[in-house]
Amino acid sequence: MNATMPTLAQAELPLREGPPTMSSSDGGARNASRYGWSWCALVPLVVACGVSDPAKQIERAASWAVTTRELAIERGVGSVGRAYTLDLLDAGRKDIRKIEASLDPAKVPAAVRSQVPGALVELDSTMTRAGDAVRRGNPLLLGAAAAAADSLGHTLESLGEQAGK
Amino acid sequence: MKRLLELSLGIVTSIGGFLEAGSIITAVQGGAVFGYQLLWAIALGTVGLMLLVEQSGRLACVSGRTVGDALRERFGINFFVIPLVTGLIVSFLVLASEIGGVSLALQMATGISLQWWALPVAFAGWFLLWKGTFGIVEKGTSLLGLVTIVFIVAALKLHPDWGEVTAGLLPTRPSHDRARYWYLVVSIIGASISPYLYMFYSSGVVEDGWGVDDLSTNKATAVLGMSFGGVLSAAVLVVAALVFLPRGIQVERYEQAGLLLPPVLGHAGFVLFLASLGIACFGATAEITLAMAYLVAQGLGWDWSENAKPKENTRFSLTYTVMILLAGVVMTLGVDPLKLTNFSMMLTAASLPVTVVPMLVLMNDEALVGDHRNRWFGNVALGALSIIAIVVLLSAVPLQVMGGS
Amino acid sequence: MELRLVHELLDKPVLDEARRYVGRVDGVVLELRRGAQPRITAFEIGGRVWARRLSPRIARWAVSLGERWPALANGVTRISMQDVRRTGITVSVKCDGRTTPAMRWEHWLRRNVISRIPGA
Repeated sequence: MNATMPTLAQAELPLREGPPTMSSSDGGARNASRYGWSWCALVPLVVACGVSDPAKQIERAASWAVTTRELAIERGVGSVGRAYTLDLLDAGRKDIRKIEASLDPAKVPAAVRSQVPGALVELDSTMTRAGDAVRRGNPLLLGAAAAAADSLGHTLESLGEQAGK
Repeated sequence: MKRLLELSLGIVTSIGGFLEAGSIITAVQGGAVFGYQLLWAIALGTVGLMLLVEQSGRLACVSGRTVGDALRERFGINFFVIPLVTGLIVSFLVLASEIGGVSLALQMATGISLQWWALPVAFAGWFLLWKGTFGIVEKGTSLLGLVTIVFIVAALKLHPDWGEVTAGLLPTRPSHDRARYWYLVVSIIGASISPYLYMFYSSGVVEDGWGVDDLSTNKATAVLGMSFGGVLSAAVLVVAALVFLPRGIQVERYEQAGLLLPPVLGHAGFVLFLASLGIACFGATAEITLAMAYLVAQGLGWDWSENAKPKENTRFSLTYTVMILLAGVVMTLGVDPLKLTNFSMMLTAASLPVTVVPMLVLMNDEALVGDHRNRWFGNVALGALSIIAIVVLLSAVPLQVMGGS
Repeated sequence: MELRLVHELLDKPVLDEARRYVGRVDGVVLELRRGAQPRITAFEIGGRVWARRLSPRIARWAVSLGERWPALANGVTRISMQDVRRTGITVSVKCDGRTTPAMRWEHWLRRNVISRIPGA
């Protein structure tokens, strides 16, 4: 090995700080307030766009009615598991309750305003009955729940179309 | 013969590794609401991915540099920090959603909440990376991922109108809910052209020691592998169009996708759906984690190799350990996997310009790729993809607000 | 010797005498000479070096992190241009990379963290 082989220098180097500038010391406060106003302007846009359309909410409920029907059918023939069925029904009921709570009656067209809440409550109850039927392993109750969900699906679909007009 | 075997394996693993949480659910949502109308978005995303995979593979074959290496070396640390930070943030969210996908499949099978599964899944993914080699990670999970061919079987069994399916390959105006339509277009593109995919691929080319002699294998893997993979995504959309759309099922929860195959294939369909979701997402979990660690290590100048033992590349192995366990922790907090997946796909699409546009420079740099620079067609295609990526970036926020769930 | 700083040195991977990966050229040291062009006398490897290129604030944060957790402080490796064998796609140097401060964190992790995990 070469005795005069150069070694690597190990340097702990001090930071060289640049001179303070106007932009870093005085501009900071200006920048914060400018960005603050931008965010304020965005909030109404986000709020306005985030408010749900009642027709879409009713369509979502109709989708859950059909999901309940399909779940009951597939569970009835043993295609899907018990745990999966109960979990999905549970998730669906939570979503229906969210729709019930968030639906603004003032925004629902008069033609369907009186029918929607009742249909949602009935759907909640149907999904509960379907869950009970799965827990008890009762195919007749499950079939009845499927039929009720099917009917509610058509009802809600029709209400959604009317609400969208 | 050996080359043919390598090529076949490469194509097969590209197919098996194509689907993941985002591509599955965006295809299901697209088919359930718009029928075949969004097939063109899948086709566009697949072609874009094919392009980027082939070019990132060619870069690695010719120069021995991965995309991460080349971004740092060609553009310097001041630019590199942008794809590094955006790549890590976006990939972390996608990683969490993939862990969520595996956990959800286990929840659907057992009834035990996905929050309980998240850390064991993350640990299993970490264990695969810790003990496995690059070949095991890439090929093992992808070969198992061939179970996703069940979607093609289901689509064929449903006897779709092939004329209508073909018509879906051309962009059409949506008949309803325009905001949601374009939101899903962007999400599908994000699901198809995830930057982690081609960054992972270029690192894999270097790990496997491919050189100039493997350029034809690279091209065939990119074109054939990604094409067949795109067919898989399209099959998911077709099945959703034929099972969910006529019934009026909109997908508000990821778990609803479990009803996709039972009407066609009965109980076997349900089991195979869970297997597809679980395996596809697990493979993606391992790949994304590695891709993130590759990006950090390559950019900052650390030793990296999945083929080496963890103690030989300690900073690299610590990086993937921390990433995957943190992502697992996120899913234990009860984050909605569907919302997270949709959001991360949108963010992925929005971050595309940061890696796609620089590829135009890299693939024309004589010092890097020599005589294997892009021809005019490659540049035109990449240029078009760059423009699409920029348009997607500009529209991502409004679409997330107006069209997102 | 003329050197294209960006194309042949900055951000390039550094390989030692045994072709082991040491790190990347994160910064350069220039000697300013009156009446003559600046001369590159050395290059540096280290997180604090590239942090300085990003912004002074990030560099200060990197230094304070190193002071709080010395184990994380890699230190800065400075390699004289006299020890450089070749520049280009990679930079080859005539020394043993394993003893550089650039690898300090790698060794510390190996001894104190990674080796303690089974299967490492």
